[in-house]
Amino acid sequence: MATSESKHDLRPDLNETINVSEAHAAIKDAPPAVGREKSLRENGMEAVSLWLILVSGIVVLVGGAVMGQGGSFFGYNELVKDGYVRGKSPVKEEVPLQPIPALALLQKEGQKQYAACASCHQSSGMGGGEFPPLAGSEWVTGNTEKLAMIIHNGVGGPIEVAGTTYNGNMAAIGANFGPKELAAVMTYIRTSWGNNASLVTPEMAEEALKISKARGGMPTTAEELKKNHDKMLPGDNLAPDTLLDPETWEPIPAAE
Amino acid sequence: MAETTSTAESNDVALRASIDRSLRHPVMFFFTSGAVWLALAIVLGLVASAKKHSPEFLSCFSFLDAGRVDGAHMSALIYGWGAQAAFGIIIWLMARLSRKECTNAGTILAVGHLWNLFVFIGLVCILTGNGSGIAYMEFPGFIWPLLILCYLAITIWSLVQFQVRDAGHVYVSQWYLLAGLLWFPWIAVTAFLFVFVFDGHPVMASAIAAWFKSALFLLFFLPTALASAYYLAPKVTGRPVYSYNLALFGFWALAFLGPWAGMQKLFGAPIPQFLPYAGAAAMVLILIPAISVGINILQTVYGHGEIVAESPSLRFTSSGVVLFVAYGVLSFVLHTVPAMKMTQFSYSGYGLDILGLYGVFSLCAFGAIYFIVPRITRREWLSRRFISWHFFLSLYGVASIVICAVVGGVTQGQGIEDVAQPFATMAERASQYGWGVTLAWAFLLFANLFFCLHLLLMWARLGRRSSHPTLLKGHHAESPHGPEGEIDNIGSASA
Repeated sequence: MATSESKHDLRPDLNETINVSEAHAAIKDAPPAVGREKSLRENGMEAVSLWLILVSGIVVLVGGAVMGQGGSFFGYNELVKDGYVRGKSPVKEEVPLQPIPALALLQKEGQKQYAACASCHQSSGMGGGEFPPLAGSEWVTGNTEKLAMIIHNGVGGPIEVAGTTYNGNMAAIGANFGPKELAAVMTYIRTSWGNNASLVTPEMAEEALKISKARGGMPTTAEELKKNHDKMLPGDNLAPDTLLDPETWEPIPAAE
Repeated sequence: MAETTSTAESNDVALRASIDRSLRHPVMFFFTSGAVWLALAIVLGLVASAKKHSPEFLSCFSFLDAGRVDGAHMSALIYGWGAQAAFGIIIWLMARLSRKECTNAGTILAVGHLWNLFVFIGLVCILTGNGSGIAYMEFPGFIWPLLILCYLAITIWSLVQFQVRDAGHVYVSQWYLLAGLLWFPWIAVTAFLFVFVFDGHPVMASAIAAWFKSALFLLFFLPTALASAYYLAPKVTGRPVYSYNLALFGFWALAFLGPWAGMQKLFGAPIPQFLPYAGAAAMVLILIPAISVGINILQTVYGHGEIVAESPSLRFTSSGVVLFVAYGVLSFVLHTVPAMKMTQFSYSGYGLDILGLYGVFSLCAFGAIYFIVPRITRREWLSRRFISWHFFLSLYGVASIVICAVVGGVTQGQGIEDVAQPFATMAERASQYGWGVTLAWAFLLFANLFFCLHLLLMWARLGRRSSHPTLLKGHHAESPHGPEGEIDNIGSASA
């Protein structure tokens, strides 16, 4: 109806080719918008193109890969994916960890290692029964070399602790300790449960390991300890509030 | 022979006109009230978006708390605008395609008023802090059965019309209409029962709510939009749909994939672990129906660039279809496993939702409204400038929202993954994009003020009386709306 607009159509009153009553009838039967509508035609039958099938194939592959990670399909009892833990931080090296005071750092590491000792000496350090206490023990708070020998080699035979004589056998619990572990556990027992002795540094512990190696690895006795090892391990003392790098345990300069 | 054809044609025109006449009140009611809700939803969206980067904005009003205004925004958008636009399209299109007049326009109109009432009550509940707090189901529990009943009373007549239609093949649009008509009660009733009624595990209830959120778009709004696109593209160009086989393929792909999607939102939650992965896989595969439908409709209008540019209906519809392809591509990218990890808790999901609801559904619905309203009111659109502003502002608005939300979402996701950075840095980075989203909502607000005003003028029967359609020809027309053509002085459709 309004498909082609020639100029004279714009002025219907002056155009004698238009039959007015016919035009009005057409409008009355067919409201303009409805009248100019085109009819829907039969659907086209173009073939589905090959590249659409190819693209769909790729999409299906990706979708399958996503679904494949979901474990068994309809596995209603699998609630958590295997190994679903937070990943290790990829930027760990770049993060400057906060420096920690020497005492806190050594105690924290030492407490972990002390778990091996706690089965006999108790987590309170009070021992009990045939096991001597560590709290208030002169063997612990006194000279460090004999303490290191006990931990690293074990001790047998009678030993007097805090006025009581014990006669048992302590295994070489610390035989596999490195200098850091040894220093940490020694510091921990020397500074816990009311004990208030000096810190043991990894350097001191390293010396202790050398002395121990020279001894040959036999369990010690109280007599031997008193005779050969009743002295402090060589090395510089470390103030408890010195800031250490938590990774390397190296002291950090206080001010930057 | 020629005589018969012309009689058949004029009978055809008379039938179409009588169908339009029978439906004019409910359809016009759904469109206009939908447009008003849309304008309101966008104002709420503006506030909700501003709250995300400037929490102090309007903080003196407790009813505009971030949590409330966000729920009110999405609910008004979905149930105020989306559902009502869909109702108008469904009942009109089904009547036209089944070639049956509507005999229940009064019922539909009355129930349409009830629907608006319940949406209003629901929104008041949300804003006064009585909402349910479940995304897309924010209305309190008692509203849902009422809305579902309204839905049935509005759409059941379309099913009846389809049932009593004269025999003949079922057109592509009718597949989508029927599917959407039957899927909606299924997803709505399921979600209502599992979320509000059954005493199941709360984690599973939120998984069902996530499924509903996705299904509501993929299985109701999208089919309605595609039904309209499959109708308008051939109708306006006068060409047949490009490929019947492709249409079948696209339809069944969507029907098969749609119900699986949704639970990917709960990645890592203690629900059966294949469910989120199946959801993500379905969202990856959505690209297949998107490409199929995209090719099919764009091939139908291909070579008719002039019609696409001039016809408001076709311009909006084609853009909606292009954005559906974009939706497919974005969904494909965002739901691969590495991207899921990155964007699960970020803005980007919102970007995809808005691309679907506004970019795909609403643009197609606008296209349908620009086509339907002149037919049922017997008036032509007043101003082609209003239409083209509506178009460009909508397009820029939705593109900006999606780009800001997706890019911002990726930045945000990276920030969350980066353990070395404090949380505040991430929030600060994302807030730049939040500003972008707010600005884009302002674009959409302007777009829809033009649309709403234009539609209300048409509703008030102030449209042009002319046989000449309002086409978007850019320049040198004699009047603001193009050449006059014949004047339709017969009287308004209300006669």
